[in-house]
Amino acid sequence: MFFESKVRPLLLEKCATCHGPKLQQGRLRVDSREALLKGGANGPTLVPGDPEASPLIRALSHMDPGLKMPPDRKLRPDQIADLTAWVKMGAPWPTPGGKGSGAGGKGRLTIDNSQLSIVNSGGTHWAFRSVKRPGIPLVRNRAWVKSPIDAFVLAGLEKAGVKPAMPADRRTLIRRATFDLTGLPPTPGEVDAFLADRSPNAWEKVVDRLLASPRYGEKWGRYWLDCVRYADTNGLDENYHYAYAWRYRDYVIDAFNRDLPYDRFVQEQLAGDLQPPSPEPQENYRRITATGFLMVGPKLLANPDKQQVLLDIIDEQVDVTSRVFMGVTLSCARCHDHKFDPFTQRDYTAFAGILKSTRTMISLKDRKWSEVPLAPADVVAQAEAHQKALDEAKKTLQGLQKKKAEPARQQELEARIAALEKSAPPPVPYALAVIDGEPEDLPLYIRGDHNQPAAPVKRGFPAVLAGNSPQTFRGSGRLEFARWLTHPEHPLTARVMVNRVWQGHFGRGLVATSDNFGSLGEKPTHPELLDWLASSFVAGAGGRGAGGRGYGVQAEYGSTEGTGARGLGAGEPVGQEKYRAAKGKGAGAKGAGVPVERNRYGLSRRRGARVKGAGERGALLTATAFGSRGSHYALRNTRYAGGSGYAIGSTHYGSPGPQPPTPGPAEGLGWSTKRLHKLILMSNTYRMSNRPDPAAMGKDPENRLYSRFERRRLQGEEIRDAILAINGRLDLKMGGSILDFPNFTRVTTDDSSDFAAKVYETPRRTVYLPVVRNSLFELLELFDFADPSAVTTRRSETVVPTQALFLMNHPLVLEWAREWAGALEAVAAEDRVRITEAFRRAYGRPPRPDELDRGLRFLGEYAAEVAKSGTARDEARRKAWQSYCQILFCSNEFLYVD
Amino acid sequence: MSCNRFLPLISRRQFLQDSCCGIGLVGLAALLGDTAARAASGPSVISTGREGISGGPHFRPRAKRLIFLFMHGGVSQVDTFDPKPMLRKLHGQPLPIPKPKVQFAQTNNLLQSPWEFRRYGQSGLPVSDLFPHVGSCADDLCVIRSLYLDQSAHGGANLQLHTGSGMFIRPSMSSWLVYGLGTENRNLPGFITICPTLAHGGVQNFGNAFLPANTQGTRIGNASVPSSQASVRNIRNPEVNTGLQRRQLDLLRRMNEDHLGQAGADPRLEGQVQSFELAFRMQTEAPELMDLKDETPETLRLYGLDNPVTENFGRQCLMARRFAERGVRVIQCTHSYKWDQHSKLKQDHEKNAAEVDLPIAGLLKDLKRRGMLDETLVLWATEFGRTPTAQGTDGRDHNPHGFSVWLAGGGVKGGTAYGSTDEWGYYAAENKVHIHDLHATILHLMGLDHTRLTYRHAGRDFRLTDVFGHVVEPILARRPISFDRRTTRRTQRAQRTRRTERA
Repeated sequence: MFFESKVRPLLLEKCATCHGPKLQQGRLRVDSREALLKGGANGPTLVPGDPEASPLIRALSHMDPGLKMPPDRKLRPDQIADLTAWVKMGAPWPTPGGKGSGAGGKGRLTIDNSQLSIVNSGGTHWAFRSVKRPGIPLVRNRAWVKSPIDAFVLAGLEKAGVKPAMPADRRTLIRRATFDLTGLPPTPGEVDAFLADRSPNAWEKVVDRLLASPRYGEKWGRYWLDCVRYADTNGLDENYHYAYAWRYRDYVIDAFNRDLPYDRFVQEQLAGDLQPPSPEPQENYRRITATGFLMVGPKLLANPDKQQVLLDIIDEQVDVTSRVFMGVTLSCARCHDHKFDPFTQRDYTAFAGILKSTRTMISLKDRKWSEVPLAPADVVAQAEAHQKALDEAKKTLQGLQKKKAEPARQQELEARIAALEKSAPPPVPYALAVIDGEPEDLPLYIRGDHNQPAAPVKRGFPAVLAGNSPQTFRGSGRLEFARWLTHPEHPLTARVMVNRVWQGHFGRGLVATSDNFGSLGEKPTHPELLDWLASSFVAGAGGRGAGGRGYGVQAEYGSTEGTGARGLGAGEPVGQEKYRAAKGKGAGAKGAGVPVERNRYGLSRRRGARVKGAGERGALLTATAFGSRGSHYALRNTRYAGGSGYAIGSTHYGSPGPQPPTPGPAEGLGWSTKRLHKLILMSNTYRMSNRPDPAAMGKDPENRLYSRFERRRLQGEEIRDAILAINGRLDLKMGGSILDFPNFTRVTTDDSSDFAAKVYETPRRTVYLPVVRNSLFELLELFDFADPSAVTTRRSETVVPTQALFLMNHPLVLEWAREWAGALEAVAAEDRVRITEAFRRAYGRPPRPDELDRGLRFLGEYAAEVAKSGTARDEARRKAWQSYCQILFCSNEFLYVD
Repeated sequence: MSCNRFLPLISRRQFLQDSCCGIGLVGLAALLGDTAARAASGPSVISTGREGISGGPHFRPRAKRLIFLFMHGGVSQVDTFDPKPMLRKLHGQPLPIPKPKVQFAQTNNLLQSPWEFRRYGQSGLPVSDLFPHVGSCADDLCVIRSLYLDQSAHGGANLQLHTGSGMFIRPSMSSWLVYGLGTENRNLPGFITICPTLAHGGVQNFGNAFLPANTQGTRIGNASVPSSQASVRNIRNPEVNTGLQRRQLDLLRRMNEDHLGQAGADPRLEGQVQSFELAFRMQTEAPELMDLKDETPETLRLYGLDNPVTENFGRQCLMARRFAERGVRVIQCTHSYKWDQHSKLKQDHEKNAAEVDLPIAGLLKDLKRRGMLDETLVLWATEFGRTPTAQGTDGRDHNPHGFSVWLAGGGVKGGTAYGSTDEWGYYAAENKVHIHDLHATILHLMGLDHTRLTYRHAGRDFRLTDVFGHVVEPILARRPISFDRRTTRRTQRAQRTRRTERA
C-alpha cells in the first residue's frame, strides 16, 4: 500500500506536528484528505491529480519563495517524489479514518443495524472485505468428496495435480479424533467398539460421542485459555494471586461443553455484565464471570506511575481483544497509526476509551483489582457485616493483648470471636470480573506518552470496519462493541474462529497466522473454503429464539441416531479394510451425473424440509456427490432450529439481522462450535492418512494443499492426562481451584520456589492445575505450553533434551510408571497378557509378535540385572515393569498422533 | 508464516547420509541452539541446519560469549562506581533540582556516601571501598555511569534490563544471543542461568518468549538454593542407575526405529530419538562440569570458595568459567535479591559487596590468566541504581534515571568510565546510555547487528531493541579478536549445508 507505506508516514512525521491534531498552524491540518482539500488560511492545499497546482507540493518542492515547507529542512527528493506521485494519482486516502474519507468511496456498503455498522470497504485488504459465500467448486474425483470441505480441498489438489492420501484406518482415526476433541486417548473398549461397528454411521457415532463428552470442553476450553492468556496470578513483576480466576476458566470449559453459540460466547466475555438480565440469578452470575476475559491479563502493578499502569492494562486489553476476536493487532496503533494495517491511532484511542470506561482495577495504589460477588446484595451485605464485626473484635483483642490490659474483656472478646467464627455465613463466591465505570473518552496521547495528551477521541470502533458514523453508547460501549463484533456481517469474527477450529484439527490454519489476519499475516491457502466455513458458521443464527438456546444442547447432541444418517455411510472405511469410496452411496452418488453446480450445492430449503422422507432423499441428492452430509446437517438443523429443518448450503446466506422477529428459516451452523467440529471431522479431508501419496511429496512438501493429514506431537497437557488415563489414576472431577493461596498475595518469591511441588501431584486433569505466571508447572513449561502472559493462538512444537530428561528422570514420571505397572499387575499374572494390555492402552493396538518378544526379553534381562544387586525377585520384576511402562510413555508412538 | 525454508521430506536413508556421525543433522540442529531452528509459528517447521539466523554472526565478533553477573535489588551507583564529591558537600541539604515526577517512594535530603573512593591501576579508575578486589581489576573495567531505563519498580526494571521491555513479555537478551549465534557445545544448552531469581519477572527474565524453545535459559538451581546444591533439573534419576537406564534407552531406540519404519520419514521423529540420546549424554557431562574437584586449591581460593561469606557466589562464578570453557554461549550468575537498601544502606551494602567482590575479581583474573578474557564479555549489572537522596535516615530509594554498570573483557576499552550523571548522581547527564543502547552494544560486541537480528512473530519483525538502540561506539576497543579456527570450521559447515540444500 503506497499510501500507508510512503505517504501517510511522511505527512504525519514531517507535517502533522504543526498541522495536525495538536497544532494547526495557518489553520491547516494534513491528517485527512478532507482537511487537505479544505486547506488552511491560504485556501485549498491539494488539487487531486495536479501536483503542479497543489500548494502542498509547491511548498514542499520550494517552488515558491514565499512558502517553503517544512521550514527547517527540505524533504529528500524521493520523499517529494512520492508525495507528487500520490497527488497525481488523485490523492487517494484509502483509510476511512475518523476524519478522512476515501477517494472514491466505491463499493462501500453500510449496513445500519441499530447503530452498529459494518463497512465493506471494497478496495482494502481481503480480510476486511465482507465474507462472500462461494459456490462449491467442481472436481473430477467426485467420489472422494464427502463434504463441501472436500470439494474445496480437492479442487486445490487437482489443480496442482496431487492426489489426496489414502484414508486412515479406523484405529488411527479414533485415536486422532479422541485426542483432537478430548485431549485423551481412546480406551481399548472404545477402539474395539468402533472396529466392530459395521453400521454405516459408525464414524459419526464416534464423533458425536466425543463432542458430547465433558472432556471436550476441557480440551477446547484450554485452547481458548491459550488465546486469552489465562493465568491464576498477575505475573510480570510481583505475581499476586488472582484467587477467583478459576471461575472464568470453568466458565470457558462449560461454554464449550454446552456449545454456547460463539456469538454469545464473545458477547458474554466482553459484556456479560451488561446483557439484559435473566430471571435466573445463576445465569446472570455465569455471564458476569465471563468478563474475567478482560481481567486475567498480566499487570505490572508495582510500577509507581499509576497512570502508566492503567494505560498499560488497557493496552493489554486492546491487544487481547483485537487479536483474539478479530485477528488484528490494534495495539500496534497505540503510539502511531498502524504501520501496515488501516488502523489509526484514533481508532486505538476510540476503542481504548471503551475500556477506560470499564473498571478493571478498584485501586491502583493498593493493587486491588475488581471482583464481583455472585450472590444477592443482602447476602453480601450480611457477610460483609459479619466479617467487619469479626475484624473489629480481633483488632480490639490484639490491642489489648499487646498492652496486656483488661484480661476480662480479652476473654469476652475471645468468646465473641469464637462465636462469630462459628456462626459465619457461608462464604460469598466472587468472580474476577469487570464493572462498568464512568463513560469517559480517552485523549489521544502523542506518541503514546501519557504526559502528552491531545484532544479526547470519541469512543468507537475501528473506522475501516465500522465506518465514520458516530456511535452512541449507553454505558462504556462494551455491550455495543460486543454486538458489533458479532454482527453477522462482520468480516473478521467468524473467519478468525473457523480458522482456529480448522487449525486445531489440521495443525495449521487456512490462514497460517491465526492471530494476524492483517496485511503482514499470511494469506489464506484456501480463501473460498475459509469463507464458505465462515458463512456456514454464522448462518442459522436466526433460528434462535430471543431467549436463546444453548442449555441442554449437549443432551440433544448426544442423541445422534436419526433418520438422516441412516444408510448414508458411503465411503466409510471399515476397519482396516480397503477403502470403498462412494460404494453404497446409493442414488446419491450413483445419480451424480450432474456436476456440482455453483449455487446449487447441497440441499435446497425444500429438500431439507423433506429430509425425513428417505425415499425422496435419493432424488434430492442428485446434484451432489455428498448429499449424505447435507441431509445429515439438515437433520441437525432440525434439532437445533426448533423443527424448521433447513440445510446449510443455501445461496441465500446472509439475510441480515441478528434477531429476526420470528423463528424463521434456519440455515447453517448457527455459530455452533460443536457443529463446526463435526462438519470438519465428517470430511474426507480430516480422515486422510498421514502417509502421503508418493507423488504428492514433491508437489506439496509443506502440505499446504492438505494432501495428507499432518502428524502432531501431544501437547504437554495431553502427555500428562494420557499417562494418568492409561495408568488409571485420572481424576475426572471438574472445576474449582486447587491453589490454596490467599487472594492478593504473592505466589512466587525467592523463598517460595517449591510452593507448588505438591499441587502438581494431583491426578486432576491438567487444565485444572494452577497457571502461575513466572513459575509454570515444569512439564508444561518444557512441552511448549502457551506463555500465559501472551496471546497464543498456536503453540509451537519443539524438541529439546530437557523434555527427554523430564520423561527419563522426573519423580512424577517414575511414579506414574510405577502406578501403571501396578495396575497392569492387577490385570493378569502373565507378562504376555500385560504387555498386550499395555499396548492397547498406550497405542490403541495389540503388540506384534516381535514386539511382544522384545518386551518379554527386556523384562527378563532388566529384572535379572536388578536382582544382581540382591533385590528380591518380585521386587526386581516390579522395577522391570516400571521401567518398561516408562519407556512406553517416552516412545514416539505414544507421544505423536498420526 | 515467516520461514519458508522448509526441508522437503526425504527418505530416512538419505537423511542419515546427510548427517554427521550418524546424528540427524536436522534433528539435532533443532534440538540445540546451534542453529536458529525457526520453529516459527508452530509445528512442523524444521530449520535447514544453517548456523545462526544468517549463517552465523553478522560480522566479526569481538567476544564469543557473555558472562552476566546480575546484582538483584538495585546497587547504589554513588556508593560504588560513580563518585560524587558534591554529595559530601551538600549532605543533609535538599536536592537542588526537581525530583522525578514519578518516584517509587518519597525521599528526603541528600545523603553522602558512607564509603571512600580510591583510584586503582594505571587508569586510576575510581572505585569505592565496597569493591576493593574488583578495584584491583580496574584496568579491565569499562564503567558506564550514565545508564538509564524506564521502570522504577523491581519487576519492570528487571524485565527491562533482561529483555528490553518492562511492559511486555519479550525474549531475554541472552536468548537473542543464542538465537543469533547458537552454542558451541552440542551436549550443553546455549544459555545457562545459575541460581536465578524467581521473583520480579522470574523466569521471564531468561525466557525465550516467542523465540524457539532451545534459546531459553536452562536453570541451574534458583535463588533460594545454595549454589553448592544447585543442579540442572532432572539431571539425575533418583531410582535407576545409568546401566539400567541405558537398557531402557536401547529399548526405546529400537521401538522408535520400528515406529519410524512404519510411519515413514519424519525429521521430528528422528529429532525425538536424538533428543533422548543427547539427554543421556548431558547426564554425564553436566554433573562433571559442576563438580569442582579438579580445580586447584589456589583456584578455589581465588574465587573465595574457602570462605563461607564468598563461597556461594564464588561457586557461581567458578561454574560460569567452566561453562564458558565448554562453549556455552551465555552464562548468567545471580546474586539474589539482596541489594534493595531502602534502609540500612551502610550495613547491608557492605555485607552484600563482601559476598561478591572477591569472587568477581577472581573470575576476571582467572579468565585473564587463561587467556579467555579477550574473548569473553563480562557484564556486571543491576536493575537500577539508588537515589542520592535519603529514604528515611539511612537508606536510598530506587533510581532508574542514572546508574552504573560495567563491562569487562571481549572488545571493550578497559580502565575507562563512560558517560556521567549530574553532580548529585541522580540523572544520567552526559553521553546517556539507555538500556536499549547497552543491548545494542552487547549484541555488537558479539558480532550481531541489533537492527538485523529479527524474528517474525504475530505478524511483525521483533528486535531486542524494538525500534531503538545505538551502539555505544566510544567504549569499543580497537582490536577485535582474531577469527578463530572454530568459527572458520562452523562457517565451512554452514556452506556445506547450503550446498547440500541446493543439491
